[in-house]
Amino acid sequence: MGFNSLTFLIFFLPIFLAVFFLTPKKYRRLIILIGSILFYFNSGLFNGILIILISFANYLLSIFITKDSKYKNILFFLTIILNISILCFFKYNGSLLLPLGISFYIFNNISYIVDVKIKKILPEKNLLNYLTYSMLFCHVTMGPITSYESINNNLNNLNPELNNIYSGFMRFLNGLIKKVLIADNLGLLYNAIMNSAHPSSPLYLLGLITFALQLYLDFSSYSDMAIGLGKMLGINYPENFDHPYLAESITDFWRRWHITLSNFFKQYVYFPMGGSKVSKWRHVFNLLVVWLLTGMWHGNTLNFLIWGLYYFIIITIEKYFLLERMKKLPSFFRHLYVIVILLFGYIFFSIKDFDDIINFIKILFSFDISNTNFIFYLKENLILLLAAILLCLRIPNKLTKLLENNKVFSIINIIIHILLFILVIAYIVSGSYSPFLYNSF
Amino acid sequence: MKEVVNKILLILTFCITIFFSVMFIVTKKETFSYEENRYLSNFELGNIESYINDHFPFRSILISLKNKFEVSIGKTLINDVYIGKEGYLIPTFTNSNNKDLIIDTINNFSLNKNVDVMIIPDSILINEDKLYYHLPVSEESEINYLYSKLKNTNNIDVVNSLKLENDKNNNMYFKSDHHWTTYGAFIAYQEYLKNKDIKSVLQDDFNIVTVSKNFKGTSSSKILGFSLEENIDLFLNDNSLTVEYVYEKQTTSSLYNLEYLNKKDKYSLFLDNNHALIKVSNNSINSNNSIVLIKNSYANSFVPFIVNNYKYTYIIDLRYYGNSVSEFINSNNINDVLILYNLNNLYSDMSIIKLK
Repeated sequence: MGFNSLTFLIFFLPIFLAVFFLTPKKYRRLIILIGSILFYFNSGLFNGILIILISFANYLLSIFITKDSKYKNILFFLTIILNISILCFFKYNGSLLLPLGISFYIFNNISYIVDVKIKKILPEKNLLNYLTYSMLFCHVTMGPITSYESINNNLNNLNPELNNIYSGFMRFLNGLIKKVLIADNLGLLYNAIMNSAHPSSPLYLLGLITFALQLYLDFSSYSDMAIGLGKMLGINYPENFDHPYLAESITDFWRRWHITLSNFFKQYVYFPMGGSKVSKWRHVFNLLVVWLLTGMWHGNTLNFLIWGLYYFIIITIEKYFLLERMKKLPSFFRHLYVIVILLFGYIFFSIKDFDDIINFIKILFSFDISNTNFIFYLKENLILLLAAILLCLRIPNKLTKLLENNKVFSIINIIIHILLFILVIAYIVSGSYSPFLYNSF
Repeated sequence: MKEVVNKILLILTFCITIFFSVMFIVTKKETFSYEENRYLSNFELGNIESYINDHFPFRSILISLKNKFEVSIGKTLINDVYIGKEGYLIPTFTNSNNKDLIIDTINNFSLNKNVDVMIIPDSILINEDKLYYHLPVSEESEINYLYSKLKNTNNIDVVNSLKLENDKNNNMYFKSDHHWTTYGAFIAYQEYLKNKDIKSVLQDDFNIVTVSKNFKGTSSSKILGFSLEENIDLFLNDNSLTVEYVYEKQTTSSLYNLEYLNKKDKYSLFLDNNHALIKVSNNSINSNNSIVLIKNSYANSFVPFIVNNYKYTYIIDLRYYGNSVSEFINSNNINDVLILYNLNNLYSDMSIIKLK
């Protein structure tokens, strides 16, 4: 039951919201827990039992970790290893279906355990409270990865202001439209290109651009929906994206892309290892560890490791050499540099098989333009691609802000959104439903 | 103002949502979709999403809406069907990676036999001029490639004659279906007779009767909201036939099951859709000559012609027939063997590899 499924949109969400708002404030946390259990168990009984067992184990261990005993450090490390082992077991055992959201909820559990260990927070005494954090349907499948402290503070006072309910809903609706009308159609285009019998340089370039747009719009639309839902319930989630394709360096890009994951690695891996406040070689080593982990987190195939190494190399070069020199470049060239690096990187991100990667690169750089298939795909999808590019820029937000007090614009805005919402339902009914890309990470 | 807009949108969307969920609950659940020509999913716990999807209120209107929207933003290729000029809905051609397997199968089968092969091009090749800007159509080179590799068979080319004839009347293929019309099948029949040195027949030798004026074919099921209604014409004559559905143990005197005229899937009226083995005896013929037709559904509208030249016509559909065709040929003293497939289905269903 993804956020973009009819089960969720037509049944789960309206019923859940109605019950939530009709329930007195102090019981709303319980409603969220019940809703989350229903939501999560819909993905399968095994998945549901697994997440409850993992949450329960972390809940118990967090209490023991804070007890004064000589074993508490060992216990802490064992807890971390337990979490990572479970994640690795499911991620690297190719024959098993990945339990929904495990890459995300395990990280939430780890962040909780570490926060308890470093005494940032006290261990939660109420199991149900902890379970609500661990299973919360807004973030359980694909993040944002959050700290226990921030979510728990919100859960203690679930009383959203009216304007937050409205704007949260708008955020959710816009995310839904973005996912179903733009990202999913980009996905269809990407698949058509990759399955084309007559590939060529421009076709594969178009494929890479399409993938870049799809990945961002798919994941950021999910984040919009999660953040919007949270806002409606009175839960404040951190932002996950900040116009990443407008970055002016790769270092900058990773500050704007999947921010909560980058922060997790920064906070729980990079900084504890000393970050950049160590010797030069140690710093490079720290970066290597973080990027290998980032690559491994995304998938169990070799290509993701290469992808991680690729960014390790580029970030290291930037930090020690390029960043200073790039400042003198006109901003156009900095953008161009970022786009080129990103597009090339997506080859390793989107194609799993090594031979296929080599083949793709060969064709991409063959500069053979005798085949004009790409013109057909470009023509068929011109409006889609333009809309997708527009959504990567700041223009839509700026424009809405500028016109938000204009009466005519407001009426048009309402009409367009309603039409788009009906169109979204039409698309889902037409069978174009496809799960979010990051579901598989 | 912003807050008011958001509030109105929340309320409106909520109303639309409730409307759909109430409609979903109160509407009667069909088991079959006439427009889409397929069975709808049943309620199962692990399958709730596709159940809701299939039984969603106003489903076909919503799908039409989606298609109309896509066309309005410049799309011409939807759900593997091109929206062409003059109401043509033309399925795309899907290439195959298993050509060698098909070639080997036919080459092995036809060793020491007299086998004719007719690979029928699809509408996309013959009606390429009806397409707007489109991907290159490679069907002709595909057929030529297959023919160049099929060493032991007599390969009959029908591309040119279909093209020529289509230029005159534009009636070789349905606009809304992936099949050819009886006119297309007739051209192939003439081509076959020419090739076998049998006296040719003319269109005037038949009594052409329009049995349906509201046929909407498979392509129209794939893109709701765009189809025209078309005629189905039959070429009739007064032969006396015995049509035997061998495994079903049923016998009739007609090649047509006109009950299908009341259904969506009207092309199935030819030979009562697809069966493993059908034997047609032409009681008006005195000689004892016989033919085995190894075929897919394209041949169903070809059969009414070929039965005029053979005492016994055996029609084998490899999707359902599991036995050895070679043994069948030997034990029934068959004179001619014809493999008749349209290219797209030859590649996509791969039933031909069961040929032995």
